[in-house]
Amino acid sequence: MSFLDALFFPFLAMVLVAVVCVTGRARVIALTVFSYLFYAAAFPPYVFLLLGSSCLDYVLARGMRGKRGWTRRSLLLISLTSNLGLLATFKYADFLATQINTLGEAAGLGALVQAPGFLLPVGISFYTFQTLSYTIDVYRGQMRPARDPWDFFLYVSFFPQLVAGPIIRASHFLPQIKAHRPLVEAGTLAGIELILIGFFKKAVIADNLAPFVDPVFNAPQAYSVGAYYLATIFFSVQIYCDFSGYSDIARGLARVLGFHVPLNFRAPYLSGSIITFWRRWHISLSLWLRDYLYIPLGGNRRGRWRTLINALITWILGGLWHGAAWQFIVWGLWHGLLVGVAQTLRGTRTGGMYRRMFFPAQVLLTFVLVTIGWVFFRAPDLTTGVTMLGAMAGLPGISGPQPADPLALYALALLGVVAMCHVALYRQLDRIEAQGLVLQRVSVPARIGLISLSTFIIILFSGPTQTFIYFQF
Amino acid sequence: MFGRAKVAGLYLFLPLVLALMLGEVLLDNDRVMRIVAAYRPLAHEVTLPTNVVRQMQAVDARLREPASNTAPRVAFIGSSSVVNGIDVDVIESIWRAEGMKTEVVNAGMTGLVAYELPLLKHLFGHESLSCAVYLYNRFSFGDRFLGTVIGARWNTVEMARIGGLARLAQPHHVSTGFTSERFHVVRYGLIYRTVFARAALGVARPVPYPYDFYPGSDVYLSYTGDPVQASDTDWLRRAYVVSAQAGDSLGYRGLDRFLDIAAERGIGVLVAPVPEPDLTRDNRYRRGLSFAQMDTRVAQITEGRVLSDESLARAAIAPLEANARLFRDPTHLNREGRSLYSVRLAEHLLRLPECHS
Repeated sequence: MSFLDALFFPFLAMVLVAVVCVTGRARVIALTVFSYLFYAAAFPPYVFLLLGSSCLDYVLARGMRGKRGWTRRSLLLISLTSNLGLLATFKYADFLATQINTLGEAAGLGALVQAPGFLLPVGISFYTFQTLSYTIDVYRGQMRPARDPWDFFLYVSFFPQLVAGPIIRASHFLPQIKAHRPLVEAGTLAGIELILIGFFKKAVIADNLAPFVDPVFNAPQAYSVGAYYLATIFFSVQIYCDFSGYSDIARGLARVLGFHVPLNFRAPYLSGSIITFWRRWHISLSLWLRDYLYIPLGGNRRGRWRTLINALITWILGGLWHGAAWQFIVWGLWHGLLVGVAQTLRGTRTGGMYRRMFFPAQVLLTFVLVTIGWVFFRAPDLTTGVTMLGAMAGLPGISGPQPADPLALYALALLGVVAMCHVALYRQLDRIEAQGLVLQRVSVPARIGLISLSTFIIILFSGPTQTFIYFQF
Repeated sequence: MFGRAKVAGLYLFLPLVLALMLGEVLLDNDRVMRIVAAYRPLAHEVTLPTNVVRQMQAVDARLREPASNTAPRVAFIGSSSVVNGIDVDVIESIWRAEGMKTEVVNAGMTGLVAYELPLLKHLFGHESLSCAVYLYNRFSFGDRFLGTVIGARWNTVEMARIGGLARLAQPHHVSTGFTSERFHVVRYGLIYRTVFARAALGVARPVPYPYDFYPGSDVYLSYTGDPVQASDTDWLRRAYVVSAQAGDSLGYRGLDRFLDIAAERGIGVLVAPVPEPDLTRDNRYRRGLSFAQMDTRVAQITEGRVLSDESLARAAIAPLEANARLFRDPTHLNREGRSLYSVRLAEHLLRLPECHS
């Protein structure tokens, strides 16, 4: 189920009725059951994957209590193998089979293996990372294992962030469960502000940009290079509004239900360097990769070359996390190179020169570098991505005669709105979740009026509904 | 508990209801509908989902307009073959010459199939509507559900009545259809947004011609056929196969139910095939199919329930279908074809007094 489905609203109504009517452990159970129902709406059989993964990690983490040495390590190994195995089977098996068969055909051996053709379970990349981080944290002794299985099941399946994040840590979420107080006026109003901002970003901005982006990336041979530029810039905005919009809605819903979910985007396009960008874009994934991959690999403490290699490994795997396709690997490689080079230049003369550059120029340069990466990310395949970038760089390519859609002016206006909101809200991002911006300062009738009017504007100006981009991951 | 319920009711549910009501109050009135229809973009300027809403809104706005001098009205319903195949001006001028004041509404909509006919019953409630002419394609009686249109063309009760809910819809389709059916701003939001945005950018202009087809000279495109037959899972192929071979389908049930609704409302109905070029008979969707059974099945359903249609029957339109030069593409009539067909329709309907009173 998506937040944009009309079905979501009766679902939310039922959740809120349950939250109002029950308290304590019964409320935790109710929220868990509703979260499973939310997940089942996509493809019911995959509920068992979620349940199986949760049960296993709950049991393994409990098993680590009081154990040391090999037993503890074995339990972690089982968790890692099963979680990554699940991900490999459902997300990467087809890709792997295709690569093996391509090699087989090149060697004259024909197709060697049969691709299993599993339907990708929605949100598997997100909840697998959550369960993995939980068992690793318990293994490291950074947190105690959850006692109540319902608490743990709710942590893994909490519906606002189940299918597209933010990836939350058990150490952050589990302690909130016992103390959570849903539908408290202040929290609800702050949550509603986040939800409205999220819906505006997704439905009004991202979904209205999609019709200018999709045709160009789907059939680049028909469009001119000018259209490529416009579609690429628009996609940078679309993916930001789509994904951060989802995160805002998720955080807002969580806030209404009495939970705090951490900020996932902190005005990333106002970053002056690629390192800052990754501290502000999909923060929960960046932190996950940093804590469970980059630092265990040695981070930036083992010399420049090792830093570069660690960054490359981390970001290639980060790219693969997004999707089993070459363009995601190349996208990860691109960011790995950028982060690695930026890390190695720290403290050097070149790094110092960059830091002294006019800040808006740094922001612009970072945006351009990130946007180049988005071409790989959005292109249907690697060849198309490379060819489009080549055409934009002036190389002969596949471009055709069709100019950008004249209504792109409208999209440009929207882009201006995004940019202004981006700058205006930059320093308020933490405050919105904590206490809201407007609603708590005005009277009750004004609150109702403002929420109603904003809802009306969002409904009226919504673009043709598109699935959240990150649902495919 | 009361406090939490109050917070949820006051700040979550009440504003949602108020927002939807605001849409009804501000937008669901004839004047706004007329303005939006008058300034709507052309078909090729918008994406398919917006075009579907755009056509629906324009037809709705047109049917809401009071008929001049309480003249009776005839609506032509069907797919893009009707949108592009009916010239309202030609038909009305022939009728005017005969002293008839009857107005014509081109209620064709892209991809409209027979199971959707009862879903549009809210459009056909105006008392001035004397006749509805349903012109079907060879794919019109299929079972396949077109997800793109449910936000605009939907009626939950009627869908359930013809057995469509259980067979076709996913849960979110039903909820999307239901909300669009109930709330004006949800149903027509896409076209309002487009027209408002164009107005804000200063590029909104009245539609240069009232229908979807370009009234100027059309270019004849020769069609050389498709080398490969479409897969049976293809939406359009499947629609052709079911229409041609099935005795019972959602499409046939939709037609049957539509005739009941029309009878209840005292609207005369005429059902006939719309011309489709013979040269596409072996295209990737139609290859290997015979449609004689489909025409027979339609005749069975409509027997005794519709107005005479002899001069519009398959045999009568065969010369039009055989003349490839009357089509502007593999599906749609061009200006000459549209004109010839419209004359034929006008002359036939002249002989049906039920449509003119």
